[in-house]
Amino acid sequence: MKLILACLYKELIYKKRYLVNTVITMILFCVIFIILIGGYSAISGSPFQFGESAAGLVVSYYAWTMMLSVYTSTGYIVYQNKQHGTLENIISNTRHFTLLLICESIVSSAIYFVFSWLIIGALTLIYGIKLHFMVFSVFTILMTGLLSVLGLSLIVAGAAMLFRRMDGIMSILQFALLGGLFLPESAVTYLGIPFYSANKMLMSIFIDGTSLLHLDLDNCIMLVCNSLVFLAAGILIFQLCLKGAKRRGTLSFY
Amino acid sequence: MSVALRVNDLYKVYNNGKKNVTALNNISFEIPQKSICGLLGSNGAGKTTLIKCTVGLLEPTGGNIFVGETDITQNATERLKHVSAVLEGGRNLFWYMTVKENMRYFSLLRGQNAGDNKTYNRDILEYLGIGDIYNRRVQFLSFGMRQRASIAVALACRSDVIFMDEPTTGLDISYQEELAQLILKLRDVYDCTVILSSHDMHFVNGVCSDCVLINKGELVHSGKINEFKNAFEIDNYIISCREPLADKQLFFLENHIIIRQYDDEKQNLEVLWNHTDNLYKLASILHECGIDVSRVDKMSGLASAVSSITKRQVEKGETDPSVSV
Repeated sequence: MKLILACLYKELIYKKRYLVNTVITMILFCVIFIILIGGYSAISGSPFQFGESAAGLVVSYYAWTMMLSVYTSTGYIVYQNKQHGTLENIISNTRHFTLLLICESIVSSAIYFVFSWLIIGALTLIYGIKLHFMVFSVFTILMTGLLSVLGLSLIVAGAAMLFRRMDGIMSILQFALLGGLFLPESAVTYLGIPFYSANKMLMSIFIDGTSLLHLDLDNCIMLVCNSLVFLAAGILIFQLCLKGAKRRGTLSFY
Repeated sequence: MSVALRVNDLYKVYNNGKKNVTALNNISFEIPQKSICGLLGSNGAGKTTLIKCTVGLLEPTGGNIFVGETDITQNATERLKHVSAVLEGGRNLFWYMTVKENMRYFSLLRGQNAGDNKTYNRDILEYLGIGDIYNRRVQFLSFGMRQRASIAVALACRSDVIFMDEPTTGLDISYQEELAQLILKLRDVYDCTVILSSHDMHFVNGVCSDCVLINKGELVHSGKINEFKNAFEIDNYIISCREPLADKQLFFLENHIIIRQYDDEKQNLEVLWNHTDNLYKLASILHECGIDVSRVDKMSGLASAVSSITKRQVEKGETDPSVSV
């Protein structure tokens, strides 16, 4: 509980202190959304009659931004703290560093979840895109799916503790995450690509209005398996990397 | 006196993929409770490695570190309860947070209740003489102030053993003097043991009650600071002669000065010289002996101390470096 409180405390101070940055992020979120819709309307020729494809675009964009919020909340945080010199102080002051990172990720995603719903809600109203806002169903699938992204992010965070330059790989990976969502459907993609099945289910909830109870059970099982495997692998690899970093002395950048 | 920290056969090897580098070689020592202990050694001696092993930032290759009866290399909960550190560089606080926010955040990380700490934290800053920067962001503080803010964060964690890694680095003489006074008061007011690493033996000599001297990963000596006083007063000189010395000359010199060692050609001598003695006296002895000196180099003070203590240990036939010099 104290860890969650600590993460919330830090996150809110950051948002307040870098208020301009926070506002710019919100504006950018909207601008990219508007550009996406604008681009789509230019192709379809009718700005207010997009149908299901536009809704799919919105849901994919929403899913990607949520994935990014989790991805950046661990991998980038570890990398940045290592660069700034605060990583060592955090590790020496906490017993469960892995748990702390998971808490940071949950807090960051929860804040982003609220913020993105407000924006998406407002923009879909403006553009007349019909989406079903089923909070409980979306939240459950989203959070379960995001566990796989968290696992991947922990792997990146672990690598960031061992190696000095990771920024290039981190940037490439975030686009690879997006690319993974557009791969053709198969059992391999459902099980092997993080957040893939969650994305499909979110489409079904947002566009068709399918509630959590009416989602395909096989897909749900694959989602849970995918998330648990990625999360378990992430935690395991992160712990190994942390141990390796403590053995090699690579926790400080300078 | 009871022991605050006991290091037992601590061994640390870094493996960079190509070769092994031994940073700490079976170091053992004890630090008494409520002492101010200087961890003294030149750059690369292993001071920071030792501190990082203690605060859980490095995994020792072997050995143990005890607080009381608990091995803190195996028990993170006890480590967090007893040990905190002010790490080197003044970069270990969040610069976008105020001093107050840093103190609260790190207390929360340790599982302490931030609400309970409000008055305590205020008192720490007042005591450290930085009450006016409580609500100031770390990024706007001078280096000296950041150093104090880091100490405040360590104190806010209510540990009874506080490590300071090179606290004098980057501080001018007046700040060093202030820091020395601060550390002395710290022990008395907060009832804690302070262990500070430094390569500045004069600072250690002036502040510490105990000292651990390490050199190239090896323990040279540990004990009360007065056991080091003589060593701190010894200077080391390398005297290069134009001609190899005759045995007669060497015999004469050995009767008048302390020769630590000389090379095979008997042309370069390493001598120990008490810095309170006049250097002209050394020059006149060399002259009297008919030695034509081409060059005299003074070694660093720390290297002199290491040489001096090692020589005495060899003379006394001591193999255990913890034995008094």
